[in-house]
Amino acid sequence: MRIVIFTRPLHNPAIQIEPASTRILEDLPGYQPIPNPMDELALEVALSMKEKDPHSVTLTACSVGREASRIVLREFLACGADEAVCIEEAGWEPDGAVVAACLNKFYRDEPFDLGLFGARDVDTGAGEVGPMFAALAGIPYVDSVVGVRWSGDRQVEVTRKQKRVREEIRFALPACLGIQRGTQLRYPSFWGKLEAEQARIRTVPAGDINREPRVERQKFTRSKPRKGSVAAEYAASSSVDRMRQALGMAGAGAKQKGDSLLKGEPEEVAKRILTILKREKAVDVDSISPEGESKET
Amino acid sequence: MTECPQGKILRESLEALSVGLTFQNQYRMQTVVLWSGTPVEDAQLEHLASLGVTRVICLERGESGADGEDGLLFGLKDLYLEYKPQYVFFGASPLSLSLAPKLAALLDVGYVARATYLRRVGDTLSLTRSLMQGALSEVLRFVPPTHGVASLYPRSFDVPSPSGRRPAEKLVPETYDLRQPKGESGNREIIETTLEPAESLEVEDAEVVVAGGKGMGSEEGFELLQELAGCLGGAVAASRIAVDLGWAPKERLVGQTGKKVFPELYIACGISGAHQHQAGMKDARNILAINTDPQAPIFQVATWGILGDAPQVINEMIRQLKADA
Repeated sequence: MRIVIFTRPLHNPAIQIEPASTRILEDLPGYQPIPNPMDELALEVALSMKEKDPHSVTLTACSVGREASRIVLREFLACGADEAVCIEEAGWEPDGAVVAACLNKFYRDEPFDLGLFGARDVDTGAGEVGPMFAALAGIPYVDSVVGVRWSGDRQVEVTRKQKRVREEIRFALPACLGIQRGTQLRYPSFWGKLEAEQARIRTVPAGDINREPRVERQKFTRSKPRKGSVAAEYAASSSVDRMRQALGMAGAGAKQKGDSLLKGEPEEVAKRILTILKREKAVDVDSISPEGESKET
Repeated sequence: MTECPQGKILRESLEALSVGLTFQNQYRMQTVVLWSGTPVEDAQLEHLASLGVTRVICLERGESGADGEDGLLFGLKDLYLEYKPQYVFFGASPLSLSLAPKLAALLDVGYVARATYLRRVGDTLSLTRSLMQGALSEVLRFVPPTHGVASLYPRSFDVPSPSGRRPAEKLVPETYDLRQPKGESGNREIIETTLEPAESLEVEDAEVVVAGGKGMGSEEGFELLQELAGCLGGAVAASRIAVDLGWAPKERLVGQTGKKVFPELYIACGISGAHQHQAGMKDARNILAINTDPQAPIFQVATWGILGDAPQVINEMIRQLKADA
């Protein structure tokens, strides 16, 4: 069985990005990418599967990009991947669909049984490449996977957890998984690191992927408060005024913090705050349950 | 895309609807609600009409028994090709995480995930999203600029409120029968689905987070927090010191070295609110702080503050919630 683990290099937050630039990667001095932590969870899942059947399972680490991808792939080799493939494509970001199209071409040329992705990229919070690839390749994709069970045949069982809903899903290969939680990736061994330094990373040109970028970056910008957030809503007032306003107290401009706080007997303040929470819809009144259990079943 | 999984429209879907209605009001575009989930009820139709919605298409599984996600995906694709909308908006629901990018890939249109801010100049829609936990933002646009699929960052957009104007006509829903795509999902089988008890709700997934610190006094204090969280359908979290004292497991730690949460309501009980803790919770929509120290830093970021003994106040809140329910 061939398992391919896809990884995406992440920008190291310690390095400042020039806001005027429209690209994140590889054109910055001192750039040192890191692997997406959820991709590392995916690699650990793959390594566990290989331990069950070391002779028939091969692990291929794969990334789309250039030098940054090679740096990250070398770390995956050090941890136990059998081979590494770098698909060269200059325009791989910010449109995840271009990456998905590159992977789809790779899948057509070199089919595999199981594709493992980190469910999210921790920098953007998005995780579109796995689902996009699965849609293009026409194979199932299971997102938010928190457990994988494989007994050596052509079927895999997974546990998917989305909010409080836990699903046990069985599917036949080929398929793709988005790994959300799992065991932390093992540390590379000394010999693993040495071998990874020497190992050859196979470079595959993306070639004709027949996909134009459908998203482009206009610019980077300094973050703004999210619309409707407390910071935006009360930006003009002091925290004391803001709280007095929220609590419905008369007169702004209190000098001391304590002036803006609800005080009194627990019974009285509890009653007042519950009234406020319900009025402001900060709690879902329908889900309040006397049994200490949500009604959302 | 409006999801109504258990008779109630998801808040995330309402946020997406709010974006659509803004386009409708400002740019004279029509917003079409694609309804998925339990059958739409009359009261829900009235509510949608009061918001300004003029067209609802209900996606129904029909007799084909189409699998939830793949059936929806190909249904959405067919509808897109038939009606050719400019934009498709998804809320930040679990389903949309994979459905939205799959749809964009099949249609060969742009996809932007987790947009926090939208701006339209001429025909170009600019979508802003946060990078590296808010350290930076990027502004993206679709190519061509007039078509694309976007999902929204949770709670970046308000839910829509009724316009106050009486709808011109009664809203009559249309139906669209989803079909089972050939060759898809036949090799996937859901063996078991379970709804986990409220106690197991992860901190990141909870709408209401009840967090405790040293001021809760003991492990028993955390049992009170669990009870309050149960009443409100929320999850329990803890500050660093409470975890170090063994009152809560490490998975419940919120802060710089723990989890970052964005709930609708964060109740900080007996937490002073050092900046390490604030790093994990200050982006909550509403913060209620209960503390005996009026100078506690937590009050600087709180929406509402109570000066008092946290266990006593929590106990009283639980009693009143149970009495009201």
